[in-house]
Amino acid sequence: MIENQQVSMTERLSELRRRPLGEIPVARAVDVTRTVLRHREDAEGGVEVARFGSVA
Amino acid sequence: MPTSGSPGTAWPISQYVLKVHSRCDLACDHCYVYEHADQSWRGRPMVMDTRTVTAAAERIAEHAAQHRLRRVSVVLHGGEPLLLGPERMRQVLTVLRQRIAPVSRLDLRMQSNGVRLSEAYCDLFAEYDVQVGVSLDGDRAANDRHRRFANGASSHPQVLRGIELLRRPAYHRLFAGILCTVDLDNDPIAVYEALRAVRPPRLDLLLPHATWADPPYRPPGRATPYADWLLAVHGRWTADGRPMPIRLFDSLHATAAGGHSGSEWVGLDPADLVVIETDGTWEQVDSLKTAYDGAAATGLSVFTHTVDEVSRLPEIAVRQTGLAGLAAQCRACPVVTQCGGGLYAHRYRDGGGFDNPSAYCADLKELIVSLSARGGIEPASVTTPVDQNGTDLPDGLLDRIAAGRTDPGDVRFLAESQLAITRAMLVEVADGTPATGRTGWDALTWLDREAPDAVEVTLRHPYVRVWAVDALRQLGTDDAVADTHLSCVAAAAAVRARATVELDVPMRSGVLHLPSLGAVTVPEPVTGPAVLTLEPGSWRIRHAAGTTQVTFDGDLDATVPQVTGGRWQANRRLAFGGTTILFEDLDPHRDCHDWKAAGRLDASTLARWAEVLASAWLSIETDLPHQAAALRTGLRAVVPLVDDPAGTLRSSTARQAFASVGVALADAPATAMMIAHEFQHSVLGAVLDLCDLFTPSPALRLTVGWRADPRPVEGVLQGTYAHLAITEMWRQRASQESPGSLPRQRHEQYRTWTATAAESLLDCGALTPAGDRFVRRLAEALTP
Repeated sequence: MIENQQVSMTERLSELRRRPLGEIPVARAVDVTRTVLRHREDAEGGVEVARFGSVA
Repeated sequence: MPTSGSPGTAWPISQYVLKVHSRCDLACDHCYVYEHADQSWRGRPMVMDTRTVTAAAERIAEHAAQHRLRRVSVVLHGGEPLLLGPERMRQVLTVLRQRIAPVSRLDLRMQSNGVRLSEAYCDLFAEYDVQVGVSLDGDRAANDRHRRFANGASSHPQVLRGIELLRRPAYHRLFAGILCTVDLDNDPIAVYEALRAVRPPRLDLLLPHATWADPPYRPPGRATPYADWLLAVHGRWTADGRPMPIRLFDSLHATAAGGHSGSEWVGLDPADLVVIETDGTWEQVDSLKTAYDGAAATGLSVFTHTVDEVSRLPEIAVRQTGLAGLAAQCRACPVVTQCGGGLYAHRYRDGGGFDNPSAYCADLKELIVSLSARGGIEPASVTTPVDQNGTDLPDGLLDRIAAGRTDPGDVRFLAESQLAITRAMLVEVADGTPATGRTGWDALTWLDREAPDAVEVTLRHPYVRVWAVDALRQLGTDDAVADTHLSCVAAAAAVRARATVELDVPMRSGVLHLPSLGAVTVPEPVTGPAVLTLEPGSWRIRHAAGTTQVTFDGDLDATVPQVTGGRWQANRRLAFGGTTILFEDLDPHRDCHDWKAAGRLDASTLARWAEVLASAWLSIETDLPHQAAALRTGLRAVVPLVDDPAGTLRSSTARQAFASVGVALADAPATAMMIAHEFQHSVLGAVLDLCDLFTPSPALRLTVGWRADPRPVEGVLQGTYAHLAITEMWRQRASQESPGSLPRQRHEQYRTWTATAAESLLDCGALTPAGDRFVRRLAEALTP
């Protein structure tokens, strides 16, 4: 498993692709998912953005 | 060109507050509707009548259709909306759904004091899919400080009873969250603990309305008591592992990372919200009632004025302009992108209008600075930095994709990346799932070793990732439940692997879904756990209504199974480009597109789709010759969408569903255009997972030719890239036509739009080096 934090996203994904699911370290998975979701939720076609100041 | 907007522009308005009842059964002494400066409620009808609801719904629908709004939110408000009674409430909901839902996805919500919530109401809200937010200020002592009946009696027991109803499994999905108004006399930790105890899916902490004319209460000697109160809550919330979203803190987190606030309380997001009073008058956001009598008035009515006319009002327009709409003092403040000047109403000063900082300026600044100092706001860089130069991508990939020359190898590379991302998400979801819910994960990891191809095919289903992202959002919150859909994913892989396993699976309304394969429906609409025993060629499902047996010979994709005690609905595949693609009209997670997904189609409609898709492929092959092979390689699924009643074309890409496009039925040439357009979005979305093409700039909006309203950078980048393919298709179609023909006009229109938008992107200052290169290649490709 690649541990160097400077490895590219492409390399990290390649490793995730090759490694058996049960052997993927959670920290590496979390890092990838947070990176992928880093600023995408509010983008065009993204999830709801409730601007009104109430929970409704 | 970057724009900050201007009065006179008809801004799209997507959120509407409908004052369906102007009275309340509580007499809260901090209520801005009755107890503050504006007293206009005294002259309003008590109830919004059907004629007014209908007129309002028609105005909203008309606006949504004109602006092609994919989602409209209507919040039922008051007063107290539950005073309508269930029957009248049903009439209101029926009108809203009938008029608005055909043209836009309708998000129905209600803000209530919760006192009159009943099973009858909850059944009604479940039927019409209404999310309910409840107001509660904390424990009984805290809540009784303001939220009392007119006779002074406590409302706390009734509110808790209403919340208990919303927490029942049958109604839980309706519970939007709790709204709590801060009071300095209430202990912040006691309030937090009381609210957490009712396990809301979301919590809003609101500052009590105040202005410079009527300043916030501050105990002597305390400069920032509201910041102190909120920081105390934040400290406990953080120590508890943030068991529920608290919007104010989440908004400050998001803006610290350069993102959107998603709230009108902080940040620079546009406030595209208007209010409709019981008499049908249009009003601005109702918190303005705290400023002065008539502050929210517009003088316009749903009977005489369109939403466009309302949105052109300068006081509405200025709310869309972000930084430019703030006072000079705010614009110069170092925390302005997070604070955003606070709530608009709180900026009011007699004689000075709203061109001021918030009356809570000191508290907001202290809150933001303190959260940053204590590490409560984490910058986006907690994750590994993302490539901004394109150097991590395979040679030439970015240039080919940018130029509209995506080849099959590029798409395969992106698909492999997407599969790896889905695997990462599954690992994180499984890690957050209680041990009791991990049988699916154990089976999946075993299958991944023993039959990796079966797992791979299953995980490539586009809507597995859609589910995983939803599940990730729930992780770590009190609202999270053991997510047994993971067992369904494992079961689908096990079927493909012809493995023998036993799994705990969820049965929902009598249906068990196996992603990428199909669904088993049992005769009774049971919801709850079931046990699925899989053996090669045979399944047994033990559920609350009995046992269902499924048997089949050989490959499930090629045979019709025999079912005892239920029926089997297989995933459908339709011919496309010499192969077949998934025609997904079954998976429960497919309904994540901008338009509503169509239900299971009948045989004749399916046959029409088959003809249209087969012909659409021929059109793509002819009109998009440089990318047809890539599209055939990459496109994995088509999701049929509900038709637009006016016949307007509809298509959509869901952010998390790579290589799946949503399309409403249309003729083949139009369908070809829509598929090509949406596939471009999907490809670019996958690139953005790997490489930053722009830096987040929430306040930046760019004008584009194809829409009236200025758009955020990613929206413009996505639109420009999609239109590159459409320009090419019209160029091909125009090449056989005479000057002045429709295809030639269309080609010129799209080419101009795309080129102009590319220039705006290159000038906007938000592109990374990779983004700059991407857009330059794109622009060059417009002149073949």
